[in-house]
Amino acid sequence: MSATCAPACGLDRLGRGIAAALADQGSGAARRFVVTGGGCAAFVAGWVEGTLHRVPLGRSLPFALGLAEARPDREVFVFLGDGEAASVGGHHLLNAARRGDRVRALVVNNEVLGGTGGFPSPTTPRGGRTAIQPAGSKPRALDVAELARAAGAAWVGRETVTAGDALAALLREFVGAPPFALLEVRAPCYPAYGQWNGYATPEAMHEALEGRAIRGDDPSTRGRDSDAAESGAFHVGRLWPTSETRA
Amino acid sequence: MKLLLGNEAIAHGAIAGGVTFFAGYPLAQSSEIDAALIALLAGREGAAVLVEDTSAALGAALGAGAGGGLGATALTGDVLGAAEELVRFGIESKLPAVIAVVGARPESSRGVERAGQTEVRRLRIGLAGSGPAPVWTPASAQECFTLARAASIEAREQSTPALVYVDDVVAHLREPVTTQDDGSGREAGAPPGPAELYRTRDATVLVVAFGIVARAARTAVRLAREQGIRAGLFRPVRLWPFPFAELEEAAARARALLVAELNEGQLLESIAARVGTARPAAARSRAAREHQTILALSEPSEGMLRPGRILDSLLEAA
Repeated sequence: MSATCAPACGLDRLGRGIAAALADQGSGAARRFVVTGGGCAAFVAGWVEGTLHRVPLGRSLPFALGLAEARPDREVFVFLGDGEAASVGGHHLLNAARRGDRVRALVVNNEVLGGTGGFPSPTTPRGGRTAIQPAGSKPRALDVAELARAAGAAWVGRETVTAGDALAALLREFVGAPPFALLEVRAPCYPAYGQWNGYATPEAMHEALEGRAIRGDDPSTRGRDSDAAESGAFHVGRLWPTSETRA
Repeated sequence: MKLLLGNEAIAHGAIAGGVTFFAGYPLAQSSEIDAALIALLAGREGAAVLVEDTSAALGAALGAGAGGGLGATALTGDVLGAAEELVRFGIESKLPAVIAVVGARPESSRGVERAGQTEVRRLRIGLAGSGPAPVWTPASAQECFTLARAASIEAREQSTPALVYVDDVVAHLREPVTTQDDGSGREAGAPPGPAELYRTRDATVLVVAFGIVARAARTAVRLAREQGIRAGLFRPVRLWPFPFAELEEAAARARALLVAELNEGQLLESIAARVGTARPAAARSRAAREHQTILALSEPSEGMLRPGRILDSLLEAA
């Protein structure tokens, strides 16, 4: 099935956002490799100037490792979807974080294999309905950012695609973060996921996604993160290093 | 001169051919290549990384190629399926990489001196409309060095994945190896020819064999000659693209071709399909045109073809 962008999925904002963050940083496109294995994340990669490599789905992180080792003078950015980051290339992600590969990975997580039209991904919430699972997905969702942190990533962040200034700030930090760095960006996919889960419009999905985001030390959100994976809530901002570990 | 395992000689050859990067997932039968490459790169301007699986190893090797380096990896026939995807990607994307493949042993054998050549068909990896990626297949530790160096140079100059395919016995023979190794990636002497011919000029029966089987076949040919049989050996040094034209020329007078291999007849299949078409009929001898038969000596399960067995088949075919 086609992998064209869904209405109001927000990936254009993300693409413009990272392009702006890189422009602010001032490192030239000639010093940058961009690697993607496909999926919706490939669309975001298209906004970034640099030498682009499209590689077989799942293998973007190992390919990026080779690039980084061969060219110490260049920055390497990898764009993955939640499918590539958590399933077909999931063990590559674990080991890239563990080794500390000189790579920055941006993971677009829309909680579904969007390009397939609606197959569940490892990040689909328990009970989340998809075209092929109208009764809801049974397994619990995998937390990609938490996984990268546990595996030893030097920098981990997460934001929603609609977070505006907060996203812009985190993107600016991400493009200069110590590798291995992983930024997970939550984005909605209305046709493959939202329409099966009671959302009237893509905009309603954005609102729901924002509602699930736990920002900083907001006391009103306390208690919601006892089991974030089960409740569907997730922390946003820089997750690692935390302000305590930095101090 | 050094005493090296075939596998170690592959690593030395790869470095001599200009390899700058290694990524690998260690597997029992190819792990000496990994260990030697890590040790050799430690003293040079290059990097070696152990990664989580064969796909990652090939991905990283190709990535190094995309970055202007030359990456190498080693794997065994058991995991070739996982590797094919990325070899094909490397061909499509014109990325260099050096890939050593140690043939899987037959399932039933745990003993020494057992080998398999069951990857012949699957190593013919190419795109529609173009030839397969080069696959070189050594029969000695010295040739492991020479062909790994040649494959590395070819990979870089032709921007292609280049493979060295070695059976488990040749991989683990410890033999003297001369390593004229200045690390410059320049070819010392002429590049290897695609085939070795042994007493083929007047041969009426020709064995086709590669790797360790070719060494047994050479003995069988000598023994057959002692009994008055005009036998010869055609040994492909480059397995793919297969030297069909050279084979037809060598087999011009042969009434029979005996394809000896450690599998169920994979090379036989290709030769039967192609021999007789690479040269126009007029250029072939009457004997070859009218009577040439292609015979199989296939041994997938025992893991070895010894000279006596090849000799018996030669006598039968003559």
